[in-house]
Amino acid sequence: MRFASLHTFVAYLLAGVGFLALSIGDELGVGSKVLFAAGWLTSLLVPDARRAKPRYQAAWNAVLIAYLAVALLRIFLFGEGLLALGLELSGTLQVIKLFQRRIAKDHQQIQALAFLHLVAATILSTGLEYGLVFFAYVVLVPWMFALTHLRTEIEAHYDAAAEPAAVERVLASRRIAGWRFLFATASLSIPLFLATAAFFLLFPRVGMGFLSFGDGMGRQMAGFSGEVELGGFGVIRTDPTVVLRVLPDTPDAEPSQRSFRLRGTSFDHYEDARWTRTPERPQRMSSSLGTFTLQRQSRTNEARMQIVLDAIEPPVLFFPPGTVGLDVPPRVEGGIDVQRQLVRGRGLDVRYLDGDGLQQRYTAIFEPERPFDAATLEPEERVLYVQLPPVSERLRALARRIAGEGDDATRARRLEAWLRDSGELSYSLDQPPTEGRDPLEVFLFEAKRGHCEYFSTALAVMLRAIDVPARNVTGFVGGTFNPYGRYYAIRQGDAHSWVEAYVGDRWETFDPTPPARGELAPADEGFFASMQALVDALRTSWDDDVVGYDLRQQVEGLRGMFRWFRRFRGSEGGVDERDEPRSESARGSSAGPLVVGVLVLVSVGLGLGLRWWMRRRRGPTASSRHPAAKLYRELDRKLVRIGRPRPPGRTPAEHAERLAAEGYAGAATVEEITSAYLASRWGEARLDVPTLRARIRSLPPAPTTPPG
Amino acid sequence: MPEPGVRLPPSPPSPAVVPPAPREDRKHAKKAERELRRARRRAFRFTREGKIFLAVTFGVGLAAVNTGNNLLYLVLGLMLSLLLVSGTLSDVALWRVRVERLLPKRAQVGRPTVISVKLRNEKAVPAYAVELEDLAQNEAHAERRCFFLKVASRGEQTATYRRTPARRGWLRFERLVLRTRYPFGLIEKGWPMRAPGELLVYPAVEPVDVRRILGGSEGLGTPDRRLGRGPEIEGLRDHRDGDEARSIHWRRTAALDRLVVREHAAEARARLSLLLDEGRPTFDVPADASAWDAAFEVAVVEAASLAHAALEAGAAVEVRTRRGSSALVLPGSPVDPILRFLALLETTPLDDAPPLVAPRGGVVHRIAVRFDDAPEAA
Repeated sequence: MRFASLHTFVAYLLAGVGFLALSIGDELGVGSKVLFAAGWLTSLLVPDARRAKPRYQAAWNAVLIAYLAVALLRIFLFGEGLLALGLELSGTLQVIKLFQRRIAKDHQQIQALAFLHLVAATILSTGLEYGLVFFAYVVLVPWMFALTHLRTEIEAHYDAAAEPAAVERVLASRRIAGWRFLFATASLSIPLFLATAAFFLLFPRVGMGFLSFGDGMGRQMAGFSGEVELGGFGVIRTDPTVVLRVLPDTPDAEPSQRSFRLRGTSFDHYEDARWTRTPERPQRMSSSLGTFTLQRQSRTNEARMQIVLDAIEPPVLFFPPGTVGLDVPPRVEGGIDVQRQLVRGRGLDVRYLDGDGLQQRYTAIFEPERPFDAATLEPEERVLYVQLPPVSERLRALARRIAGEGDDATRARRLEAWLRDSGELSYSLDQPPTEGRDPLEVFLFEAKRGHCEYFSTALAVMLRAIDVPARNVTGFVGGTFNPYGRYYAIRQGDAHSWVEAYVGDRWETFDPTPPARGELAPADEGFFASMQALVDALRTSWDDDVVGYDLRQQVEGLRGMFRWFRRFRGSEGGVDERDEPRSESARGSSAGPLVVGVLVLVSVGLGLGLRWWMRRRRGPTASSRHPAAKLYRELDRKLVRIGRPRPPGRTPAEHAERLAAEGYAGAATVEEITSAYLASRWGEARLDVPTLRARIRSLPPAPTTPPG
Repeated sequence: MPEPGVRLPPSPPSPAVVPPAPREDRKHAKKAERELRRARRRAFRFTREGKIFLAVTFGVGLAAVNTGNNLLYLVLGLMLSLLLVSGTLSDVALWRVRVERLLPKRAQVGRPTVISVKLRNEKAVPAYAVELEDLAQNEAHAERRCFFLKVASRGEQTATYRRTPARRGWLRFERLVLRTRYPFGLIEKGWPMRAPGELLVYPAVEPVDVRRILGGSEGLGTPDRRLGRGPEIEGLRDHRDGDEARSIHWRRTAALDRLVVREHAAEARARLSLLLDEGRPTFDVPADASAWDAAFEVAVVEAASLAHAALEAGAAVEVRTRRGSSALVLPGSPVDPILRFLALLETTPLDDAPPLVAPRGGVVHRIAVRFDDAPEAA
């Protein structure tokens, strides 16, 4: 490939990666993205001769000035956001530069702008997509830097003034950068990756957070905010996006699916087919050694569940039944642990205040036998949970008829059983047409099908209709084991709605949704599902190990490394690694040295392989592939077999003479083959290989010299 | 004989042996010395792009520390890695690279001389973008670099550069400095190699009218009937041992199938003796000394020019000084013996110098050192 063409190709790849980096997130409008893509492609079509014209260059400079003027107007007249305009400006600069590119300096600016885009993307997204862009950038950057540098040197050292065609001639050369150059330069990305990882891991995380860009909004999640409209939540059932991960308590033999019920928030007010939370001032929770207490602990049969929650909006924390406390590790800011701030609202609604757009990793301490909420219901709160909008008499009658007589718990069980098991109502994601009527009435008396939201609302309303305090609860039910990340993934589609009723002096969970919903959704199988799991594992690892890497992990990692080195010192050191406590965040540290070791071995192996390959391509080895040399090697082997080997220091001709002098019967044949070998190897004479090979085979064995 | 470049630790420069240089040249010499010291010491420097890159790295680092944004730490890690890899590979690019300087036999003041440098890459990978700087003692020149864009694995390439000597005498090359900014152009690595070499620089020769001096010297340009080295061919004879190859008459040799040489008629020898007084008076004022030195150099140039012109005109020429004289160069012979003598001519203190003696016979021309303020002339 011509040097200039190769350079252009790589420059466009790098600029493309820069545009991809800019496109991450929603800051850049779709129109800008399309324009950038169009500019990126069409600039390739401009012939070099046109680029060299001063008027062409001046025209693009005029475009740039005009764009800057418009951008200033947009800022001062229309008050447009600086961030979006800045991104747009950097993208426009890149497009203009692609149209103008001519000399090495232009290419330097293209690579600088692509780098700027990569830096800008750090504030646009913390997702895995940034990691992919970064990966592509690291692969491309050695090529781009090396080619641009060579072009700079060519333009500096070849006298374009004295010989105008000199630079063009060199740039058109195909001999400067071939496949070997590309391969060797691309392989530089391996040490780049290793060094980047080392710097990333070792650079002290003592950031002060003065200009924190991390306060990003989490993903919007329906069903957990202050308001849920009937019919608006169940449709996310088909969304496969993973939002929550549960790390298994036992590492071995995990079933592919387990049903985790994780509670999010609850709603106490129902009106106009809409659940809301009665406004209140949430209470800030106090913590003891990082543990926030939810309920009084009995400290019997206590279990732990580690949860990794994506940044979502609203910032609700999810936990399993019987949760008595939440162990939330502090954030590290400026090298100092800063305790997380949690607030608790009515109806066991727990949220975090200091969202930073990153994943939350916390541990739920729970007692499996206990309900979600063991608190007693105060009389003033009871009013909230029996509140009902005007509902039809037939709904009240239905509730009374199904519930029958008995205590509250019995009646609640009957209502739950009727909704779930009677067969009169079925689970469906199809929204029943309401046409202005009460969706609940349509669900219960006409359509008789709906999703979890309808069932839970029906139960809650029917319970309230018979004066049993009840609330609608939203959370997740499900869990698919991810073999790559070794955790249970809970998707948006696992979002669920159920009911908590205050019966027998405590809140009991009732789930009236028919099993057709499948608490255990069918396991995803196939290549696509496997890829999804892999991507999610990567995303989790990216969020946890890269985006969420902090001083604590750094310290734990270093401790892990020291432990690993101590292990090598053996027993004489007298230090047992089990003596030292290990925190949860240091989970993966024992694998780190192994990975490093494997990488070192692979690198050494690659280096040795490359060296062997290089040696094989050159020097004596190359000459040994000559047919005459091959033939003579056959003769050598034969001579060894018949007991007349050629010593290393003896030439073929000398050996033939020596054999003749010794009176070996086949000496004439050896001499003939040796002559043919020399004539072919050094004199380019033709070699009759089959005949000579037959002569080698026919060499007689040498008689054994009698001793003495 | 040029020696292959061998990487050695720096050594102190050998004492200057060239004639005393004028003040301007001394300034250049000092600058060259500084550059030489820098070249020895500074094997590593950031390029302009590297400095910008370093500043941006610092900015990204500051942003990363301020924000605690791990993605910025990632970018920072990449930038530091690029610097690290660039520095390391620039060094690797210069491994197992051998250099050899190929000097011409002579050079002349003020005339560009082409110097060749052969670079042999003994590595298994090509060497890219290697720049070579040739450093000599006491000389500062911009044009002393040559560039190799790509030298194939185990291949060699020869590049040339032009050097215009500023002073007569021995131009002593001291070392070659290999430099590269490859692969990323962020860091320049230099590898000084001791590569001593000498090049004799003749004084400049300018066009002069020598006939004014030779005047109507008898026999000038008229062939003699004796055999000699005149331009007229006297006849042909068989080749004998010791005959110069250039006197072979190839056409007759081919026709007769044996070596036949030409015999030339001797030219009437007009003999020109140029007297150049190298005795240097003692000066109290350094400026006067410098002015005298400059005037002496002008006189040397005049001597060289007259010698060259006289030989062209068919006269035999010699240069006489207080300390000795050059060989008598016959017409038709190259002027090299005289230029070599003048190139190496050094001044001598006037007080200790023997008198300048004029020869008997021939045309004698005394070349004056035109120094107006000289207190006294010998």
